[in-house]
Amino acid sequence: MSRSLLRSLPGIALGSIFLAAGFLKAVDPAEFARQIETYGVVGGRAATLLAYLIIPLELALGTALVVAFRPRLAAAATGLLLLVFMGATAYAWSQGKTEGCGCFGSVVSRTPGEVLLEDAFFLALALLALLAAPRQAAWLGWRLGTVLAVVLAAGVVLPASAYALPLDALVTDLKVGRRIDELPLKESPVDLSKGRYVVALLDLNAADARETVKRLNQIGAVAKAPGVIAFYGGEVDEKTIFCFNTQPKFEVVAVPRADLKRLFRRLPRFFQLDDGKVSRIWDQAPPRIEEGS
Amino acid sequence: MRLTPLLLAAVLAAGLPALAAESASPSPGLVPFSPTSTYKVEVDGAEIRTAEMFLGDPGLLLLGCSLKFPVLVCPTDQTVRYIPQENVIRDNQGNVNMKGTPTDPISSYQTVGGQISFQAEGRKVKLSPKPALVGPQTLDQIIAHNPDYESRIKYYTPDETAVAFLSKYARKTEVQIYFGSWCSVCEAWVPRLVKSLQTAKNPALDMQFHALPKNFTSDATAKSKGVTGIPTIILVQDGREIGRLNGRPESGTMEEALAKLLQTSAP
Repeated sequence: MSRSLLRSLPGIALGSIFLAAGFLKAVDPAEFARQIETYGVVGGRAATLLAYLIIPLELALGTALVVAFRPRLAAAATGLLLLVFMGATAYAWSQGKTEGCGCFGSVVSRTPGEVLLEDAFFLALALLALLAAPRQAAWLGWRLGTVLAVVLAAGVVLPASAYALPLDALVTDLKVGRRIDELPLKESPVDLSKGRYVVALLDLNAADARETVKRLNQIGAVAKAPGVIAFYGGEVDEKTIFCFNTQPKFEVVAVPRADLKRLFRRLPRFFQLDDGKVSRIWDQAPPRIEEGS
Repeated sequence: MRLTPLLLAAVLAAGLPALAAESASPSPGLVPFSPTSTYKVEVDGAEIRTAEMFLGDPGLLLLGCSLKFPVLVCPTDQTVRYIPQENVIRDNQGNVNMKGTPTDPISSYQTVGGQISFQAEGRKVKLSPKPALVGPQTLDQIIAHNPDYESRIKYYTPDETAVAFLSKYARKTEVQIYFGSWCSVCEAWVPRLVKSLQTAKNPALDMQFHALPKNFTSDATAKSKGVTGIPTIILVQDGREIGRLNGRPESGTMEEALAKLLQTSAP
C-alpha cells in the first residue's frame, strides 16, 4: 500500500461514515428534523431548516474527505461539526432527554452515552485525518465537481423529493415477505402469526385519523374480513382521547416509538399479514375494502 | 282464491312501511352508560374531583361538573349536548341510563394534544387522560385505571411448561413488579406475567405492583431499588433480592424468563 494512500485512510473512513449518515438522513429528513427538535435547542421550522442544512453539509464534508478535496480543511470542519453534535447531545442528555441522536437516521438507535462515545471516536479519526492528510493535489477540478454533484444530488434533490421516491423497502424493515417475528411488534396482544390481518401503523395526531379509522372499521365489518389491528409509537395514555374520538372497532396498541420507526418513513402505513408473513403494503391510505378482504 | 297472492302482497305492502318505520326509529327504551375512570375533567383550569363519567354508545356522559345540566360529549359529530336532569336515571349497580334524546348541540369540541376541550356556559371544559398511577397498586386499581390490562390478561395464553414450573415452586417469593401505567412495553408484558402467575395459582409467588411516574429515573423508589428501565421484576426471598428481570425478555416469554430466573437464582 502506498504511503499516500495510507495517509488518506482516516479521511476516507471518516468521509464514508459521514456519507452514509448523510444519505440515511436525506431519505427521511422529517425524522431527522424531529430528532433535532427532541434535543430541545431549536424547534419547529428552525429544526426543519437546520435538518435541511446539516444534510448537504455532512455530505459535502464526507465527499471532500473521500476524494481528498481540501482534506485538511475538510477534516478540521468535520471535527468542528462533531464537537457541535457532541455539545448538543450532552445538553439534551443533561436535560433528561434519552432518545438517541438520529445520527444515522432511524436505522441505528443508541443512547446519548453511546452517541457521545461514538462521536469521540469519530473526532479522534478527524484529528488523525487532519494530521495525516496528504498535501492537496495540483488539479482540483474533478474533486470539486464530485463534491458539488453529491451535495446537489444527495444533499438537496434527495431530501426534497425523498418521500416521493420508493425508498421505503430500502430504508425500513417492512418488506413484502418479512415474517412477523422479524418485525418489532412483540407488544401485539394478538397472535399475528396465524390468519390474515390488516395492520395499521398510525399517527394518532394526524388530521385524517378519523377517516382512517372509519375505513379500517369498514374493513373489519365485512364478512370473512381479516382482523384489523393498529399500532402507534408512544405511550399508553396517548390513545385514550384518540380512541374516544375516533371509535376504532379494533385494537389500538402502543409500542415504543423507536421500535415502530423501523417500519415507516411517513405515517400512516398499512400492511397485510397472511399467516405471519407480510404479503402487501399500502402507504398513506388504508386499503379499499375489497383489497383488505 | 286467485286473489290470495294479491291480497297477501297488499297486506305486506301496507305493513312494510310501518315495520320499516319502527326499525328506523330510536328505541323507546333507555340508553345504558357504564362508569369510567379513564378521564380527568377540568373546568376553567380546575380539576373537578367530584365529576362522574359514564361511557355509552352515544358518547361520554359527564355528571357533577358544576354545569347546569349533565353533559354528553358525542364523538360521532364532535358535539357537546345537554341531557335534562330528569332523563338521567341511575340504577342500583352504579350505571346510569339515558331516557329520551339529548338537546341540540350546545357547542362542538376540539381535540388538541391528546385532550378534548369545549365551551359550556361560557366556561372552558377540558377532558384529558387520568394522570399516571404512582406508588403501590392492586391489580384492581390498575385495571380500573387502564381497562386494557383486563383484556390483555384474559386473552393471553401462557407457556404451559413455564406455568407448570411456577405452579410447583415452593419457596415463598415476592414478585415485585415495577411498571408504568403509561408505559407501552409494560401494558404488553405485565398482563402476560399476571396471567401466568394467576394460572400457576401458587400462593408462594406473591405479586406486588409498584407504579412509577413518567420521569421515573428521578423517582425515589426507582432509585432505591435500582430500577433503570421498566418493567422491572424483582424477586425477593426472605427480604433479600435473588434476581431481577429488566425490561421485556430478549427472546421467549416473560413467564419463561421468570421460571428460568427462579431456577437459576434459588439459593
